[in-house]
Amino acid sequence: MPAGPRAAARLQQSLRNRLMDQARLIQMANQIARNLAARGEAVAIATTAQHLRDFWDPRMRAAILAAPVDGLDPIARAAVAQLHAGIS
Amino acid sequence: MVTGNLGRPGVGVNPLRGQNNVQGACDMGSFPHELSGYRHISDPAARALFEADWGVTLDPEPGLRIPNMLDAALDGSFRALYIQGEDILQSDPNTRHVAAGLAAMELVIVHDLFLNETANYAHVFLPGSTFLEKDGTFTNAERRIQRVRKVMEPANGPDGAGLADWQVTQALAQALGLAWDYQHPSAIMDEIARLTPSFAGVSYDQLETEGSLQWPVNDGAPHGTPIMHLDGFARGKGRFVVTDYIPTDEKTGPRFPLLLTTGRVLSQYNVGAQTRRTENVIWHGEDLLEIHPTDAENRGLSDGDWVSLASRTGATTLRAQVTDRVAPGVVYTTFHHPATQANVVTTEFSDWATNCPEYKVTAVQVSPSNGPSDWQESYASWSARSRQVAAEPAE
Repeated sequence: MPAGPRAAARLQQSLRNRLMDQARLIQMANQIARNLAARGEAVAIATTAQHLRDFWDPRMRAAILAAPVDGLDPIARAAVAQLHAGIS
Repeated sequence: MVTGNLGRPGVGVNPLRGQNNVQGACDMGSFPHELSGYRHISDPAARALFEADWGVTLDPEPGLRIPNMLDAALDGSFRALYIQGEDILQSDPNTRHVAAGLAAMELVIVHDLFLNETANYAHVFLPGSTFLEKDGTFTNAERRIQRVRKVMEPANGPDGAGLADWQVTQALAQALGLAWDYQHPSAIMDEIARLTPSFAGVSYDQLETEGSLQWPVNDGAPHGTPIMHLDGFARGKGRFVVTDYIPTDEKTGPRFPLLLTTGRVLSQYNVGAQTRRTENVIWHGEDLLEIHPTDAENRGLSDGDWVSLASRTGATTLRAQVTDRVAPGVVYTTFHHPATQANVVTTEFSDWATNCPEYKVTAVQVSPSNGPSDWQESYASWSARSRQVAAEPAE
């Protein structure tokens, strides 16, 4: 399989879609955090972080860690920070 | 739980499954984060059992669910898919996204009874076998494991040389260099019993003797467990969790003022891959859009008119059925026919915990139409081209 132009096209497509992926992952993380918020802030943050560890593929976790935090709700943002710090 | 309606005959919680063996598939670790028997892949003890038996090292990380597989296909990190007995092109939400994901993969293998809609994106098609052509088990929602018995040889090969689905999968594994050598599905069940504590006492011989078995089946319950939680739950009296009502992000507005909900009718099964190929089409030959008389009148629509059904993800054209079976502000349709592809309209929103698609809430607009949507035209063209068979070269 010729690699040159096709690989370049794939890379461009990859970069375009990765941005879209991050928006989708931010939406998913916020949705998880909102549904856990009733348990109280500290529990909600820890449970959201645990949910991301238990059910998100490493690619998804890496993408949310690299995403801009502006779009994350406070609980989701703190959960992603916990994930980043490796706090269990 | 709070009223004590668990742990006694005649009470309990039973999910109403959409298919006959959803329970069995879940029991066997079909989730991307679980091994059989609902053990998380991060559990080192559970993983060690499989690693010792299979002689491999297992990745302790969860995998991707279907919507995220399609996202990852588009970003280039998910490149191949083997689909057995499922038609995701028609059943999953946001059809254009599914199609784009499948088209981006380097290898799509579809193993099915029929050339279904997903097969339009397949690089390899493997013919499947029906429940009459294979041995196995189905497990229903009360955890009851029941035998499925082969009554005829698989008709997907010449005169007795057909292969049951498990044999096709095994041949594929062998071609990839794995030393799988199961002689019969009973040997696979023996392996399940060896590696799954809740199935420890299950075997084809035991199923033959008992007729059926409700798991857990083990030394403590050799004849199975008809009723669970007799003396309490694993954590004692159980646990209640406070939860708020969180509305969906999908909202109606000026552009999309109606709510679409999709569903099924009795005469068609799921996406209709099987039932559309029977005379059941006499009862349900096309997907219709049910709309309340008030909503129809406001749009100048009459019963039987062709209408465009559009959401922020896509549009399709189908005929309207004016009926007060639906409430004002709500429209309903089925997803049985690929000519309609109702899921081109549904969105990628899903349940927060499981990512189960939100098929029942899509903001839409309905308007008069005199032709198929752009997607319907392009899909019909692609479908026709994908099923062309090249002529054999002349000798």
